Parts: sequence; C-alpha cells; structure tokens
Amino acid sequence: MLLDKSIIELSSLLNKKLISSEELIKESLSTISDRNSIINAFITTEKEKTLISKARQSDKNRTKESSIIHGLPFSLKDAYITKEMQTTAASNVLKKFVPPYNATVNQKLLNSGAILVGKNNMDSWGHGGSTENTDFGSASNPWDTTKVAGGSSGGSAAAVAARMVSFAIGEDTGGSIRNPASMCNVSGLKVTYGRVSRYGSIAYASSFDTVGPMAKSAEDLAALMDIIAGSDPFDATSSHAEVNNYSACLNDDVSGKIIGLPKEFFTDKLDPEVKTIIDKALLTFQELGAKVTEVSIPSIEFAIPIYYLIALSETSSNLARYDGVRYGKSRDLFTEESTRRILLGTYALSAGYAQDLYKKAQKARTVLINEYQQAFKKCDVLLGPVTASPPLEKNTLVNDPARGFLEDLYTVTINPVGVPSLAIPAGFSENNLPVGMQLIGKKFSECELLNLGHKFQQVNNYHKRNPNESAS
Amino acid sequence: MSKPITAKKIQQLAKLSNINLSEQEAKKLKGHFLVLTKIMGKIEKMELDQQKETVRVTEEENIFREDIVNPSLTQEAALSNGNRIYKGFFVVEAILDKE
Repeated sequence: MLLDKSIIELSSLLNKKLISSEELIKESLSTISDRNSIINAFITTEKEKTLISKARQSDKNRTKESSIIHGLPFSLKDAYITKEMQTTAASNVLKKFVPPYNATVNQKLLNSGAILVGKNNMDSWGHGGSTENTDFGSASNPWDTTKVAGGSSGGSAAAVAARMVSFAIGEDTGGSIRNPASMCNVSGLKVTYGRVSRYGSIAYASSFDTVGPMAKSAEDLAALMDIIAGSDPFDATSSHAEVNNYSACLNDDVSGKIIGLPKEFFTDKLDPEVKTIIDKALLTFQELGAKVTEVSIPSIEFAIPIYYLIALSETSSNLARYDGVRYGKSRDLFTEESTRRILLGTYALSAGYAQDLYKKAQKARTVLINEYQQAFKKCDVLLGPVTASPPLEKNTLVNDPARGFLEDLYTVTINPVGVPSLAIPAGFSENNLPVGMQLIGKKFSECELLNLGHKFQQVNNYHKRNPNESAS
Repeated sequence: MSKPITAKKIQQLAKLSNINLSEQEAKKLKGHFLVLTKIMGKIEKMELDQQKETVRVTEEENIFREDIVNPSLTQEAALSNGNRIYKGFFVVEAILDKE
C-alpha cells in the first residue's frame, strides 16, 4: 500500500513523479470503502469526484518548492472547524452544522497543499476515552474490531492505523491523542499548551486543550510540527516561544539522556503485560545510551480529581454557547455522558461548592506543576504507560462512568501542567493488540521527545506494522 | 463534597445548565453523581491552604492588537447556521414580557 509509506517517502516519490496524488487519493478512498463500514473512523468524507479533482490539480501545481505534505490525503478530528464541510464534534447538537471558516490548523495544512479527505469520529466534545460516546456509531480498533479504538481522537487514530490517510490531526485535553495512538499503534504528540493554535478547535477545557498531529512515526510528526506549530493572532493563548526545526532534531545523539520513571505510574494498577512491554522498551533506550532513574510525583494520586474538577467546570462553561440560536440544535440532544459532565462541572462551579471544588483543584494544579518541575531536575524526560491495559472490549467503559474516569490515570496528569508528551508504539500483547508508551518532557521540548521517539523507531518495527495485514 | 446529592439538586443543576431532564433521567444521574463526586472529592485530602491557584499555564499575557477593523465574516456567513432568522437577525425567545 502506498499509504504505508512515510511522509518523506511519499513526498520523494511524488516529486520524482513515480506516483501521483491521484493514486494516493484513490487508494485512500478504496481503503475507506473497504474498511470504514466496520472501523467507522469517519463521520463526514468529501465527495469522491471533488477529491480526485483536487488531487489532479495538486499534481499539476507541484513545483520544486512544494511542501513535504503537498498532495497527501489527511483527516481531521471532527472537533476542527472546516469551511463548507460539516463539523459535528460527534454530537447531534451540531449535526448539519457547516462552518463559515477554517480552523487555523486546517488552513495551514491546506495552504501546504495537503488534501482533506474527511472528518473523524470521536467522543462527543472530547468527552471520553473510547470513541463510544458518539452520536455517529462507535469506532472500532483496526487491530481487533471487537475492541475500542481509544479516544477521544479514536477515529483519527484508526484512520491513520488503517492507512486510510497519511496523517491526521487530533486533539488532547486529558489523553485524547495519546490514548487512541497507543490503542491503534500510531504515533501521536500532545504538544506544550499553546504550541499549536486552538483557533477553530471546538473547546472542551480551554486551559487543557491542545492541537496535535497523529501519524505513523515520530519522523512524520516532526514534519507536521514544522508546518502547524507557531503563534496565531487569532488565538491569544498561542505561544510566542521560538518554533524549533523539528525535523532537524530527529537524529541528535541520545546517549547520556536521563529517563525518569515516576514510581506512581508503576503500581499494581498496571497490567503485567503492559509493564513487561514498557520494561523492554526501557532496555532499548538504555542500549541507545540513555540512563534510567526513578523519580516521584506524589500528587499523581490526585491527578484524576484535579483533572476532572477543572476540565468539567471548563466544559460546562464552554458548552453553554450551544443554545441553538446562532448554530446548533437543542441542548436536550447532548448524550448521557456529556450531560453528566456538564452537570458535574456546573456543580463544581456553583455557589457553595466552588471554593471546595474548583478553586481547590486550581491550587492542587500548582502543586502538580511544582512536582513535575522537581522531577525534571533529576531527568531529561519522563517515561510511562499510556493506558493501564491493552485495548478494552467495546461497551466496557460506556456502562461504567467511574471506570471511564479512572482509566485516564496515566494521561490526565500531563494536561493541567501544560507539558508535552509523545505517545509511540512500544510493542504488542500476546493477543496481538498494540501497547503504547509516552515520553513526557519539559515545556517546549517537543524536539527532544521526537528525537528519542525517532531513535527508538530506528531500532524496531512496531510502528511499521499494518493492521490490514492481520485484520479481524 | 460531603453535601448530599439529591434528585432535586440534580434538577437544579440541570436548570442552571439549561438542560431539560426527566424525573427518570435525574434519578439515574443521581446514582452516577454519587460515585463520581466521591472520586473527585478525594481532593479534600490535599493540604492546599498555602497554595496559589494556577489559572493558566502559558506565560503569555495582555495580548493586544491595533484597534483597526479587519475583514470578518459577512452577515450572510454569520447567519448561515441560525435556526430562526428574520431580516438579518437571529430570532430568540422574548425575555421581557411585562411593560
């Protein structure tokens, strides 16, 4: 399959005219046609005729200066506003909503010549970790369609994993890029808060939300970060910090890097199979010259309440705008899970409760930030699991909201702190299910994370495995 | 977090959130609320009196631009997803019904 190849490989073949964008788009459409009825990675796809026309135009317009992603098919989590293409956030509240403008991340990718194939399924409004809280049917894991694809960017992860697109853009508020990346065997980057513009990203929790790439490798992610990172006058929270040349960092020497293992991540809550895979990955990093040390972030014990008290408060406020006046349908169309989250957020902010709940969580956030800063004095990066176990059976989490909250332990601790985290494939379970790991860095250390991820991926092939070759 | 959660409280929260709930839905939510607020209430175990709140994790502040009118959405584009439109206006329910 052509879409098995990396962004660099495809760009080279396109430049040499050994393949065409039209062939890529046709392969993308064919794979979607074959597998999307089961995987359900897409809520909306562009018309075939339009895509082929865009691909032909792309082939004609190619020059020596064309971007590395010129002519490549991509998709967006349906949390991103797309001009003249339905955007739903996977909720009936926004069914048939057609935005009049583009999210900045979409516009940047279109300006670079990439071709938007469609909008990916997700947990509505970002509320979930399995892409089952959706009004458009659950997404399935391409490795085993009885299992979840993870969430909330499950559709994006599944689309990349199944080779429906070359790359996708997801969104991470409490693990929503890293969780599905891990479950679908793709690479995903939760960026430093503010590194990529959130303009046009339907908000879940505005002080946690990040926009990030999902692709088959750290190398691909670096190529995408070179295009999407940077400040944006339309997003006042976007950072003016210098943007690195991410692709240039990939081959730096990693020997001497110190990897910290938060002891709070490695308890009996972690499935032994996941622990074994992570231990093996650590050996690989040591063979690459890295050193390993134990660190402690004691407030990880409180990460779930810290995250949920703030996130749900912010989401109850953000979703108040969906009043059916300027856009959208009745608020009675929110799913049970989203209704629950809105009400919990309202509860945490309401008179008589806000002092004990929301304000306490914001103070606890300071404690967590300080503990991460202390940990980073002893190491360069942290390493941990992404999920407690390999991908779960469908319908496990939707019927157990408490379990849904607790499953997020390894990912939600990062977002209140604002630091970046790279999730990459670490291995496979005995049942051939993907297991990922995450590398967590200081703010704006995406270069370092991508460098470590790339070096890891140069000495094993987990990230290259294709579920279409072992589809069930 | 030890204040009791009742179905009446759930209905109050629903009203604040501008969401309609049936009695049955409120009752079901109450059950989930009890479990989830217990999880979130764990925060009471933290010693936080001396801590300052973190409201944002970005160093950016006071982001201004020049006070110049820039191109924006046309009226047609802005109205394009409205449910009830009248002569260029979004129509809303009346909130003042007395002289």
